[in-house]
This record gives sequence, C-alpha cells and structure tokens, in this order.
Amino acid sequence: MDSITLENYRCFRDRQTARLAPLTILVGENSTGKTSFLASVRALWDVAYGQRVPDFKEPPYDLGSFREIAHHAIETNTTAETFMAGFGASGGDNQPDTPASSLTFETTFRMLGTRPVPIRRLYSYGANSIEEIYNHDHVDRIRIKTKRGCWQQRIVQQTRFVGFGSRLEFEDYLTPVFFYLHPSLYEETSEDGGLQPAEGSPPFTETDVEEMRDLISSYDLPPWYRPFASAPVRSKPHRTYDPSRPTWDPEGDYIPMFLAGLHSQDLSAWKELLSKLESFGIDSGLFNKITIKQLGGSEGGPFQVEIGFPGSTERHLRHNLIDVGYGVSKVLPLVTELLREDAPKVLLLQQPEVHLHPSAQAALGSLFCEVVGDQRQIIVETHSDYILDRIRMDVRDGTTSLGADDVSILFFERGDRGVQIHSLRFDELGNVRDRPVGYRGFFASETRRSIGI
Amino acid sequence: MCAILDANVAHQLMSTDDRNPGSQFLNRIDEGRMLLVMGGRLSRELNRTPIQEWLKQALLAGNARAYNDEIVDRRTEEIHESGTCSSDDPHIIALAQISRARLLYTNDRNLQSDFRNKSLIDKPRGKVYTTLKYEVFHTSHRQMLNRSDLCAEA
Repeated sequence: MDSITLENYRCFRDRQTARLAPLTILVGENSTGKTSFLASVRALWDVAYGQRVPDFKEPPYDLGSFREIAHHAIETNTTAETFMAGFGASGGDNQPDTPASSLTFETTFRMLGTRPVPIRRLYSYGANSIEEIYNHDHVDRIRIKTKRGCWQQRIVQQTRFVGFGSRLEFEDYLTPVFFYLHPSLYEETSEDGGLQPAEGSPPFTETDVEEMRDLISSYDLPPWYRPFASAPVRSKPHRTYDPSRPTWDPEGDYIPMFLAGLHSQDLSAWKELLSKLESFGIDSGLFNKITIKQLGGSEGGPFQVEIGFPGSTERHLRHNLIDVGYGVSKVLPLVTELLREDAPKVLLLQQPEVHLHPSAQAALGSLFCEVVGDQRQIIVETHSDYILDRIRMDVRDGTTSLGADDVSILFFERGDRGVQIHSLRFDELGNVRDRPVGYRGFFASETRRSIGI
Repeated sequence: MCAILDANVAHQLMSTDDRNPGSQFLNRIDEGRMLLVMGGRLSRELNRTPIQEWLKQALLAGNARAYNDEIVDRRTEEIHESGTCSSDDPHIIALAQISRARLLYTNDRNLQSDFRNKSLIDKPRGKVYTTLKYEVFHTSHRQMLNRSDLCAEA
C-alpha cells in the first residue's frame, strides 16, 4: 500500500490521505488515532483482498461498535452515518515494461445491527474500475468502467453466490466482485439481464473483461499477505514451556513454541534464524545467545528458553528467559517475526520500544531498515526518538539500502476538526521535509528549558 | 525564509529575554517560520557551541536543514582560492551560495561586507542581522525576520 485515505473514521473527520512507504513511522501524542490508523490498514485488506467484513474488535485492536468507530462531531453532537476508508498501491507489476498504473480501493461502511459493514466497494486500476453498491444488507448494483465505456447491472437474485454471502446479515464473507465478470452473469441472458450500457456505451464484451485483467490480478493476493498486527503489550515469559502447536496471537505467546519447533524440526532454518536473532541481540546490547534447553533429554518434551549475555559463554552464566529483564522477553516475539524466513509481508507494530533501553530502541530502528524492502512493509507506531533518529541517520549515512523515499513519517495532530495526519519525509541528507508548523514543539521547548534558554 | 547563523554569535541565542535579538531569532526557528541552514565547516563549528543540543532538536523538527558537507567544503575551497572573500569565513559564503539562504546573523564586519558583496551573494542580495548597531530587539530586526524573500525554498 502506498497511501491510506480516511473520512469520518474515528478521530479523522475530513477526508485525508496519508503517504505510506516501505517503512512508515506513526508519531504524535497519545489518543491521536495512530492505533485506529493501524486497524484501518488491516480492515482495508480484509475488505479488498480478503473479501470479508472486517472485525474491528479483532485483537490487538478493539475499536468497538459502529458508533465508536464512526466520527462523532462534538459541536453538533452527531455521529456520522457512514465512514470511508481506502488505499492506493503501486500497480504495473504484471507489465514490467509499462509505467505503473494507480491501483486504488475505496469502501464505505454503515451500521448494520451494531457493527460497521461495507455498503460500497470501488476497485480501480488506471482507467478501469468495478464498483459494488449495497442497499441495506444486500448487493444492489454493479458498475463497471473501462476505456470503452461504462455499464451497470442491477442485482435482483440474491441467492446465487451461496457460500459467499451476498447478504451481510449473517455472513462475514463478501462476494468477490470479479465474479460479476463471468459471461454467465454479464450477458443479457443472465438472470439479472446482464450489464446494461450507460451513457451511449457499446455492449459489454470479452474485450472489456480483457481490459480488466490487470485490475483483477492486482487484487488477487493470497491470505498470508494479510497484515500481521502486533500488540504493544507482549508475551509474558514462562520458566518452562509445554510444547504445543504454535497458534498466532498478537502478543507473541506462540513464539517460544515456534522457536522450539524450528529447533527440533528444521535445524538449518533454526541456525539461520538464531544467527540473525543473536546478531540483533549483540547490536542492541540485549543478549548474545539464545538456547532452547530440552528438559528430560528428549525432543518434543518440555523446554526452557535460555538467554546469554555478552561475556557469558559458559553455561552457568545463561539465564532463563523469565529471569532476565522485561526488554528481552518483550522484544523477542517482535524480532522473531521480523527475522523469520517466512516473515509477514506487512507488519503493523505498536510501540515496539516498550521496556527497551535507548540503545536497543536504536538497534530496532536499524533492524526495521534492514528488513523492509520491495516485498515487505512495516508500519510502526512509536514514541521513541531513538528509533526515529536511528532510521534518519541510517538513511542519511547510507548504512541501509533504504532510500529517502522509502521512509514516510506520519505525524498525527489534534485540531479543531479532529485529527489531521501530516505526511512528512526525510531527504537523502536526513533532513525532515514537509513538516507542519509546531511539529515537535514539545521537544523544542523541553530542550530550551534543559539548556537554560 | 532561510537563515545562517555565524558560530561566533551562537551564544547570543542562549537568552530567555525576548528583548534580545538572538532570542527572537531562535524563536522564529522554533516556530517553524524560519529555516536555519548549515553544512560543512559551519556545522562543525556550531556543534561546538552551547546550542548544539538545541540544533539537534531543530534538525529533527525540520526547523534546521543540513547541506552536504563535502559539497559545501568543496565550494569553500574554491571561494578561498579565488581570493574574492575579504573575511576568513568563505565557508559561510559557500553555504549561502549553495543553500540560497540570504539572511545572515553575524557581528563580524568583514563577513558582513562579504555577505553584502553582490559579486558573492546575489539574487536576492544578502541581508545581515546583527547586534552591533542595536543590542536590543529593534524594528530593523523585526523587519528582517518578517521578510519572506530571503530563501530559494522556505
């Protein structure tokens, strides 16, 4: 995703678009909507790619019901009847020789029962688009546009996509809109009478379906591309773990099981991951050794996670994970997710700096720079100057392959009309560009007081 | 507006008195209404003054902007070798030429002369903010800080 657009969503009242980059850092005071922003990224993925009604209460987020999610205007004491969210993404991957087209998605939500459900979805790629419009709880119309013209189809029969839930009342799954491009549906002989030309357009044909091919393939992502959302409060360590099948959770409780599983089942993958983990441990000053200690002498039995510190190469100088500082046990799930071979493509992180010494926070900033790239995106909400400044310096000094355009800073600022998101960036010399007046005003005044001016 | 601060007057920013021209200069930067530029030898000099912590925060806030040290140093050398500077501050003239900052805070008379020299600084001409004439914030100081044409990119 290259951008996120929000309107009447939580504290974001006016329609506004924020720039995303491979590495995006969300900054701003508490309660300015940073976590809501992260939740919108995952919700958008669910609606656009996952073809499902997003659960705004799915951990680690809990945004409440529709009335808590739609913007509430204090001056009129009214809650918006709908809210919208959308994203833009780079297109053109399917045709490397042609310039990238703009890939955009928009969805509008309204209240059904107490929860928000999408009542409109608009998929666009360049000049082509397909729009699905709901009337209350069922798909009412489909509109399609290509260079050749535009067409509309009113959906009368609501039961044909059994299992895909064309009604929203009981189903969480949405109809994949591209089903409407099947000849049995768009031709005049279909139950609904097919796509009807509008504004003097020619009949919809196979040529138009071909025209839509890039749009269709651009929105065809496998489920494992779903953003990984990490909680700000992470796993509580245990002295001994009973092996079990690792089940994902945002707090990272599964990570010791995942590590032990790798240790016993795939030694080469374990060694590769261990090397990366220990390299980060040394850079951050947090640890220099991680050991999975099998109890009872057999694989598959209970185990402990041991941590060694710089200089503690002897076994007796290693400590159980529960006996070391919170910093290690809190950051281990996060760092493992960042470094594992099958790492998530999009990571949504909340305050990864919690419990970490500034040197470890800075090392985490460098790690973010190291692991993001064309195929990996990180969006991180942070209050850490050490993370932010390390990223700035790494970009400036060229110690990362990230260029200045690969980093976006989103500054969330509370104003009279809700929160405004400012898209800032670094230039290649590490200068902060496009900042609004007042950005980091607190830090300036605090420094002035500190040095006596 | 973009401005350059001579390291020799950096201590004048260390004031809590709003009647001090240095204090007003600093306020403009903190408010994001004036961009402080630095680079090359001047950056190294400023980082040895009492305002270095404040400078770092100004950089992080986007209220100060660093230019490429190597490019500024190279231009400094060229100006020095050309012998066109009467002051021993060709690094400040070089920075002004590269950044197009046209407001300079200095009390160095030779540097002031260089900064006003059309053959060194032009389009627009350089303006000097100084406390040599008025030690207390004066209308002339305010007028200078209110100008919006002393920078290529504000």
